[in-house]
Amino acid sequence: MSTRTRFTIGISIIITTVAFLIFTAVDQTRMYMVTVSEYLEADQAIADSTVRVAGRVAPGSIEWDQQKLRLNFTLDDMEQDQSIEVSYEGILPDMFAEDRDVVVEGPYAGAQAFEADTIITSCPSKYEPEQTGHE
Amino acid sequence: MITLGTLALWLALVASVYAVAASVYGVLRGRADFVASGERGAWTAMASVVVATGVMVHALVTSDFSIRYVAGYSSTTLPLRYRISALWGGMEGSLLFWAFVLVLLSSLVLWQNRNRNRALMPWVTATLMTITTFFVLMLVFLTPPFATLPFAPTEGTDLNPLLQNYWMSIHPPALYLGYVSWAVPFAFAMAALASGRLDDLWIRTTRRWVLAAWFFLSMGNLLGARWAYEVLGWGGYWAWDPVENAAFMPWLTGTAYLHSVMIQERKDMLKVWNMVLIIMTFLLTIFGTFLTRSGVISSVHSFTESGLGPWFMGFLILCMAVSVSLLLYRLDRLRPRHELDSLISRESSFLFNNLVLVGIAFATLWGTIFPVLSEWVRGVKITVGPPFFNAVNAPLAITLLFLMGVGPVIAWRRASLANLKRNFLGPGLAGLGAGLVALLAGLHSLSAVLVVSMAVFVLFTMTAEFYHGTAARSRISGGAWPSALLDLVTRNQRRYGGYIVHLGVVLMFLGVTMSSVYRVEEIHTVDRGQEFQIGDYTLKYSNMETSSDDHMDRLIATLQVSRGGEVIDELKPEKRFYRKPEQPATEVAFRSTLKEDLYVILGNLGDNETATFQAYVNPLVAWLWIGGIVLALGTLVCVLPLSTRREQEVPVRTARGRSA
Repeated sequence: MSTRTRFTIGISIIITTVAFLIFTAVDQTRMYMVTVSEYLEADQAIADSTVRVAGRVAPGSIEWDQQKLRLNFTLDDMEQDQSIEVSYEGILPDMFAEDRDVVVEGPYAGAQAFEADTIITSCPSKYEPEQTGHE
Repeated sequence: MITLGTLALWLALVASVYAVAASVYGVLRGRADFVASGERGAWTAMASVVVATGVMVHALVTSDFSIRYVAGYSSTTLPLRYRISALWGGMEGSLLFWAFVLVLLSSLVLWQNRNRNRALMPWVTATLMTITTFFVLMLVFLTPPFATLPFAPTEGTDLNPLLQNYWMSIHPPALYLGYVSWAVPFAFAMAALASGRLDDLWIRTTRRWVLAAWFFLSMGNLLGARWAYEVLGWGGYWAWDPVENAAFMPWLTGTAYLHSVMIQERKDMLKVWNMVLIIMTFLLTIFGTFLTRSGVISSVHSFTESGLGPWFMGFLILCMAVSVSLLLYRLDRLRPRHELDSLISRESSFLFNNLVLVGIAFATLWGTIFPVLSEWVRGVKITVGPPFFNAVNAPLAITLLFLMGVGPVIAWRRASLANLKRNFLGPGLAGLGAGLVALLAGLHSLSAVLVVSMAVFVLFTMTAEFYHGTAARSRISGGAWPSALLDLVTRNQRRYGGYIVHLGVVLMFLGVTMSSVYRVEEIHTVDRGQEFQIGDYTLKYSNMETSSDDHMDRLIATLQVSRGGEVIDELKPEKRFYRKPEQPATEVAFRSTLKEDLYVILGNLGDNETATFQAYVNPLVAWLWIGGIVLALGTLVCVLPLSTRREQEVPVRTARGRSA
């Protein structure tokens, strides 16, 4: 085998490995980003994966049990009159409040309450790095 | 003053456009007078940008709130150093700062080369001034930093509290220097292509620039990580956020370039590849600025949506089109004179290291722009988070660590079995042994075991290099070992400086791996006087104080830290409520040792001073920062003129083409 062929093989192996790693990792870790109403009409692809649902915290819906670190609230769609129930265990993010736009991340839960692993709060003001709920 | 700033920007625009036109016209027509005039145009543009920046800093320092930017990012109660760092706290200011750094570096280049590299310089000037034109264009038409308010408020809205800290004063300048410095080697590469001076003149001229750019980009990334760890307070230092990735990608391709130019200098190979790498690196720095500034990809960093996106996209496409066309135009003349001899050689280990680095950069790019891609292609928004980046990059990074042990010691051209045995038998066995010990010691994570094993392998190959080198030097000069070691390093600064950098990287690998794989997290809600456990620490919530000043109200908890029944420390995590803008923030407290960090966040407060604490134990995380310092020192060893003999030694060494 000529040196040139060996190099071609070596380089191909690296490129294929990188492509393979990317492909499988995307397949295993992808998250669909949806709005509340899109979540409610989810198709099979969304139902099988982790989702990030963007919405607005419904006024008066926050229930927070500090001892159990359990947070329950209603997430409204930002435009339509639809909502889902969200449940979360952990520290209440600093910027979490009524009427704030938040993104909740967790496995698709269908008609059940959405069990969020992470709540991402976005900051209302200008350009700046912002902390997440609990990464 | 405000008029002066605006006028200066207009003048900078006109002068930089003129500098590009005159330089190109002059060099193409062989008109030295036009080249000289273009250079004067460049000096005018550079001076104007400096004046504009000066006006802005003056306005920030003197709190001239008639300027919208000053009113939006500063206040009279802000300490002086944060008023200055407000320059890069917002969009307009940070673009102005970008332009400022660029003209500073450009003026250094023009001055250094006023009597040198005259064939390249018109093109270098033209390239640097094209980039300047782009940024000044945006400052004049899109994000004017000197825009005024109809009524000047009596007080500004203040700099974001998260930016008011030590790390934020030095992280952005370091990062910007790192980004912008890559424009210099890029400009020389373009000049080499355009002028046809394709020998290694441009590479030799920019050697130190590349090291400096790499140094600042490394520091910028590390300081950002440190800021995240100390200030953002979520227990980690790297979240694979688009903005972090934006700074990481050019670092990867830049690191690849740094290695592969050595092959070109030594072997006259990989010329096309080096051009590709420097073009990629420069484009990624522009792309990074674009990502942070355009808001095209949503992230946990929140951005102002701005109209800059299409402009950046246009500029990126322009740069790519011009540089790739030039490269294709000269492709024939860049063909290598040698071919690679063997798969088992130093050349090929460098080539593979390059491919892996670019592979990591590509995977990171793919994950970063994935939401945009999937929306374009399939109409659904899909994103990938940290698990994606970890899954893809961990195996590649471990491969890189392995190559780091191989590359510096394997023989050039073709390694014989004897060479492999001599260089790698000992370190290889040591690495395997360390892996085995790690397994027996109960490390159950495959990647942790592999990293430990590879790290020991690399450390052994490097120690052997230092040992053999010092022994040989000591034999020749008859000197004592410490002086022989010093002599060895100062005679081969780049080589041994490089090893020190590698040592730093190995330490960082260990810190990152262990602190992410073996991190312990606990969340507890406790009453005052109660305690909770994490790892072998007992934390007792002993007190809660409040304090207030002009800026904020603070709640400060006191936790007594004990281990084995003995009180060893006291941690005071805080919750702050800033007044302007009204926002809560978390001030973490941590206790750092070489073995592990105990890191505590004050979460939520309930009735009767009941508090929720989130605590982490991050093993070996201190080694990430120590590794960073070692890396910085290593880079300095490469760059600083430590020895007068070095200059004379370079040609001799190159001519002899020493083998391992």
